[in-house]
Amino acid sequence: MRTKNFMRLNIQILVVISLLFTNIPSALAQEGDDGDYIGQVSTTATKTLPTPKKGEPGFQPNVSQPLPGGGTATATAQLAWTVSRMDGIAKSSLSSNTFGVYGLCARVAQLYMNGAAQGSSLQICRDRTGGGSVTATKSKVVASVFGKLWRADTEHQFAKTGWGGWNPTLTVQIQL
Amino acid sequence: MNTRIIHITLACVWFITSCSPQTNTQELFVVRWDDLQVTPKPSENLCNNINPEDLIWERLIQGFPSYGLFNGIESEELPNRENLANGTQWVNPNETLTFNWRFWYPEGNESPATLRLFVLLNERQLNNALPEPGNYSDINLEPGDDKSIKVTIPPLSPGVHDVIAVGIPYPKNEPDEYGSVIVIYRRITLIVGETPSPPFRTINFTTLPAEGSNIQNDPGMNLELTLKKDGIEVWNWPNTWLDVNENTKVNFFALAGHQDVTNADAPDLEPLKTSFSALLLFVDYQQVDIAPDQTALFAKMDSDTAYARIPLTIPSLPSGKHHILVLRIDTPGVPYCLLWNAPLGRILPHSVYGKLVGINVLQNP
Repeated sequence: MRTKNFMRLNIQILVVISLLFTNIPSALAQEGDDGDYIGQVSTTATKTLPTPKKGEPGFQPNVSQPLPGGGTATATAQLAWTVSRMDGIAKSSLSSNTFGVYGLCARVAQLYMNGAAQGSSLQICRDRTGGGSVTATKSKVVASVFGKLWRADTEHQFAKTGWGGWNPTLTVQIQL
Repeated sequence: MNTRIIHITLACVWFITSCSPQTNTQELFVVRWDDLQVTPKPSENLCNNINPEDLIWERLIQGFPSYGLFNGIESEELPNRENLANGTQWVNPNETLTFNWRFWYPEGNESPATLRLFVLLNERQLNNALPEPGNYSDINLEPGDDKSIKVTIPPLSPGVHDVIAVGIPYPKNEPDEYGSVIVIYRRITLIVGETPSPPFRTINFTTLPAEGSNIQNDPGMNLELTLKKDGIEVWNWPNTWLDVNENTKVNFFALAGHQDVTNADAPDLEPLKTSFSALLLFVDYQQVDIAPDQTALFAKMDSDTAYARIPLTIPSLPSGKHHILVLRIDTPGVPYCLLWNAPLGRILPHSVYGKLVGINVLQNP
């Protein structure tokens, strides 16, 4: 009888403990899903949108900017998708003939789906001279990317050591 | 009998741990070197000096003939300032300081631009810092313009002071339905007198409780505004303006989360465990209290905070359309030259983000 009670108690303790930790398995499951999805990207055709929505003149061109001393800085906002994943991509790059060191940063400030924020990327930065670039990506996995309005806002930084710089902000949007 | 007691106790433990708040929102916290996860620097050698010649405006904009906007801040007395680091300058106490905020708007731009400018000193909007009286000045830029605006900073007490010059393009345009706004800014740090040790402004940060969790893959937010108590839909999407009746307060929420910067050349650095920021609120480009008797909300968030939900209230406004701007300033009170100090070192969050939304107050019949 005592043994039976002891076993029943053990089982019930296990049930309570598992309830206490319900968040952990769900978080692990999400990581696993992400991992599976990343593995599929290389085999899935990806269509890109090269043309950001035209914004205010001077502040949101599809941006390529000659720099002091030669060279070109380019900021690109991009939405790229597979059937079930949307990527918002921010890229800041310098042409190979750029002179001097620039602080480059890129960030997907926010990826939106039907007006709801889906998350931002980390800001990626580095000091770079000619030919360097940084790219930041925010991905959203859904059952289907179609039938939705997607938008990515991106932020870019090209800073000279000192107190001056160029900080374009871009937007790209598509109804799929 | 004993078994039943154990069952009840375990159930109570589970219930209490499930329902207890995640974080103490009242904890006040002052930043230290350890919190920034950077190696402490001696006050007398805080940052690498830069050559003042690198800041000569004409050199910076040389060969910049295309389009876009290049802007920078320079001290009027730059040649006399020897102690000058990246975005950081040592100055004397109790002196009025003047700077030139310069704008180069090349001929390749297709049309004129208008910017509304204002200046923040230690997260407070300065009055009469710009040529026009009041809290802000407007500047019109024609293609090919190289314009300069004088910025006047009042005498400062010894210590570390943040100056952030902010420009909002096309301020009278309708807000974007997402609340997106371009924020043009320059941030500099003025260290007045001897560099204090540690070299940080004393700020009481409040720990914000995480609502969204990065571990659970909730969406990370720099800054978003929502009317929802528990949703993340932005503002009044897809409508641009929120219609409200006269004599009505507007309650809404800022969603803001932990920020970190990855140095692509030092990918092995441990991620930042804690980030610090300041949130400011403006109505029609004039700063108002963001919390009772507080012009800034200084927030501390841990790395799991995808977003915290911060309740904000706009008092009743006169009839008509009003622009509501929320700014987020990363890592306030830390000298700018420490935020990005070495090519292979830690880059601390150093951005200024904004969200701009619209409230249309309807006249009562």
